Amino acid sequence: MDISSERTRIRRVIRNVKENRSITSVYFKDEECSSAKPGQFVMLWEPGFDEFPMSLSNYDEQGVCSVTAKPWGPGSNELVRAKRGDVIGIRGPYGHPFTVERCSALLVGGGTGLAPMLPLARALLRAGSKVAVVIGGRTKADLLFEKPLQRAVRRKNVFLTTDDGSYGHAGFPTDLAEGLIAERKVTRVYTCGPEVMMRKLYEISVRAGVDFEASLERSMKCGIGICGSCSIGKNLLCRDGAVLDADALKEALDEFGLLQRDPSGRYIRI
Amino acid sequence: MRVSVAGMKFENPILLASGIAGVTVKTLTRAIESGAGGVVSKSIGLEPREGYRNPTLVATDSGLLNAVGLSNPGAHAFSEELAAVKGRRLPIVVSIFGGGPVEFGRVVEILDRNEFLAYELNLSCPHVEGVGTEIGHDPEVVAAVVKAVRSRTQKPVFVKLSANTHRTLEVARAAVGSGANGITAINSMGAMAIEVETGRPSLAHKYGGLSGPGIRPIAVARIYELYENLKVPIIGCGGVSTWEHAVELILAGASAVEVGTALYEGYGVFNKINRGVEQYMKRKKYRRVQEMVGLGHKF
Repeated sequence: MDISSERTRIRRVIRNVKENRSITSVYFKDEECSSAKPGQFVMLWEPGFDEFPMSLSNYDEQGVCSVTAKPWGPGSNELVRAKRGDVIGIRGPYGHPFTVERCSALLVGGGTGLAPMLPLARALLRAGSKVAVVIGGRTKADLLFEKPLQRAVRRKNVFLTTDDGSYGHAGFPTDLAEGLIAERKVTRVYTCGPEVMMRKLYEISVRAGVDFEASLERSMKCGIGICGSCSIGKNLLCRDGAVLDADALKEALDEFGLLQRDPSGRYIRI
Repeated sequence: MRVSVAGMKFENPILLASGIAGVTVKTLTRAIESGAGGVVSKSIGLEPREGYRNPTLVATDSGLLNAVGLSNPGAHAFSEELAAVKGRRLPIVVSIFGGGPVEFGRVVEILDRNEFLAYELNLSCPHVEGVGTEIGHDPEVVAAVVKAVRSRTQKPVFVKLSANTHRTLEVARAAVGSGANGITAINSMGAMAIEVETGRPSLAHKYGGLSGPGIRPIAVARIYELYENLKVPIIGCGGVSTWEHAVELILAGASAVEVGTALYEGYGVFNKINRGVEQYMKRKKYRRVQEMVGLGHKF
């Protein structure tokens, strides 16, 4: 392995798509990402602002890729404003992806956690899986990828929840999970979203005896297994994750959904 | 493969270098379970530090450039981490840093009651103002820091030195003269990269330290020179990713070898290097690592 292959690649933004009132997708062309797997991420450099991990929300054989973000800090604030022709830096794709094999799958995403779900749903369908998706958001205006997911897995397999009841089921995605697992004979739950929601889903999945994989987020610096800042338990999220399965999470139940480390390495509540 | 370095016992000579996946005792433990003979923690200071903004690490074709900025949870929080593994007798060396003798002394006072093997004093970080190389190139300051630490602990004290100065040997002599039990050499080399498309320095902090393959020959030279001139054990560090590299540092004079940037390959790197060193020893008919230390000097 040669570390010089990890040099940042300079890419130009192709387009900026506002997905809903708070979430934006930014497209760019990067051939290296055409071989990405669902759940993998890139380290994205916003020159002069920040470098941060972003799940790939789309990628194709030609290397047309997207990331999907909400403004939450200097880097993402700048990213969501990016226009065609703007320069960004890309490293990756990195990380351990979601398992893609034939199964009865339930995908549960909350907020920007829907980002990796579209490539995952498509890959699972290609593998011959049965796929259902729960999309959660605060309000109707916060739901992400409703239409493309409905197109991908058919409308009747997509379930919507809003915290305020403005659309779909009133409540949280976790409210629907237990019923769907039983009705649809689900064999594996995949999730990405708020960690408290993912922790609940982990417990539901373990009780139901089904496989479970979650894509997590931690403070990340190097992305290549060196700095250690993204640790959860013994795992380095950049290498062992960002997707962790139930066995890995079982070893980190004192942190998963409860605690994360700030950039100094101190524990803070999630 | 066992080695004894200034009274520290390691199962094998390949150690995890400071700053690499070593912020938490859980990840340090993983390195030990993966075959590291011992581990050096990330450098711990008196107060928590978040470090610099990203990009903090960028790859170049000469190795890895970093300006993490000594991010660490602070001595009190790290002391709690160490307390949680009390009784397990883990081969942990704690790296510490500070702005001078007073700060170093206070860090030792906070950490010292915990169970760990030794201290490694980081007097060689090349990219943070007021600490590291800024004080570590001055033999008088180094002597004062070592005395402050020495007077507060019974544990072995290693001083990690920089090769960013022509005074490495002079600084090492000052450290040993003030009670250091050994020297770790070397730290990353002061360096910078500029991304040409944007014209911007690649690191948010602009200046950083180079580690990995590009600095190994520098490490070999400094270790060779220190071994020639000092009587204390040396821990070698700098660009080691294969058994040949580890043996090279041992032949130059290192009693044990730290591996950092090569963690890029994953935790399997410790066993990979150890297996190679073991086969080399069998082929050359060495029974103990100690027999090889400094053999490059007989010519």
